[in-house]
Amino acid sequence: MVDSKYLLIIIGMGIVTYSTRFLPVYIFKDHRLNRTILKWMRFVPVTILSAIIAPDIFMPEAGGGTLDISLRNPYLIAASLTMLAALKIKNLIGVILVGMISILILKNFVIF
Amino acid sequence: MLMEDDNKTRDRSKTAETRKTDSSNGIFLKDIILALKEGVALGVSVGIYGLVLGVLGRQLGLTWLHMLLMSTIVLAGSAQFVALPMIAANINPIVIILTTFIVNLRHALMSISLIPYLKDTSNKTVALLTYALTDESYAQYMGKTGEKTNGYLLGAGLNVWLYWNVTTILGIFIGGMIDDPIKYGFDFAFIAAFIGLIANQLQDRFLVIAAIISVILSLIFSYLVPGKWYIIIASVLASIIGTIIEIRSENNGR
Repeated sequence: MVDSKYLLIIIGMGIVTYSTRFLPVYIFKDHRLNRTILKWMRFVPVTILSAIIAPDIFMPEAGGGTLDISLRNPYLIAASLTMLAALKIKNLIGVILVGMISILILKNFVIF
Repeated sequence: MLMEDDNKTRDRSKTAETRKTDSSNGIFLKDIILALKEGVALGVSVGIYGLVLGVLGRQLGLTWLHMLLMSTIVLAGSAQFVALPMIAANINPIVIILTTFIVNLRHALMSISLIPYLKDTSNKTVALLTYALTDESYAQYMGKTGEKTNGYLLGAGLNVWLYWNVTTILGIFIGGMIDDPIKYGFDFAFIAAFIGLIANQLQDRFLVIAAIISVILSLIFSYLVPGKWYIIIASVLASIIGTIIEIRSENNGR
């Protein structure tokens, strides 16, 4: 049964989560932003997405979460292949398939 | 003269400022459907996480209703993963909520970077569009080539919402049936999708340099700071460095 304590916790979680998503746009969207800030914003998507996935590639949990920049790191090889594919083909499904097939082959058939 | 004009055009394209037409500010069904279609692969990787979370929820004694409420009200993958065991361990709710806030603070950075695209959109619509602003929907929207419409942003959010709710609930019922080798592939689907979406955005050398710096900084800071702070720190710093490099190269009369 869902009790009131559980409900209160998730409502609290929901409020703080939503505030991180909504408030920044809401507060600043009608301000005139200076050119330097706008230039800085241009870099946020690429840098934040890179930072989200980089540790999963360079310090895979399967390898104990330590930095592994070598050919023995299957995630690094698969990610490199995926990046090459992404720069060549613009089809996202194709890129994802290259990544998934690479990691499945590396993990299951190549002994590391 | 020609050079100057060239520079002006380039300058405009180099700020995040975008001119949006009426068609991109309205919400149209065709854009929502396009986002759902293009979001299938991301959705599948969201779904794998969802199943794993559902299985964890079952082990901790949650029902499908607990899961539905949490996945709809919170809608945040990593925060839910962190919070579930804390709830089960009867930890002080204030601590759980604060932890959630910290884990999700990176969305504030994403939210700020959406401003150029949403500045002509009404507050009500912004309130709706940002509800499902997640790593995946943000990546899909920012990585979209061509016009970024509000309908597409809504569709990308709806996409995540659907896969997340269906699979976190499904996980409650199926228990531990996910095969490991297959899981590797789907785990990597998330990384591969992000790589594809990042590649779409590497449109000049400044962005490439900033992305590489962010990778290096995130690795360093994931050692140095707890939790997910490395994402925010790496992105803010790498973006500042990218901005400085770009401004300096402009001032050098190039």
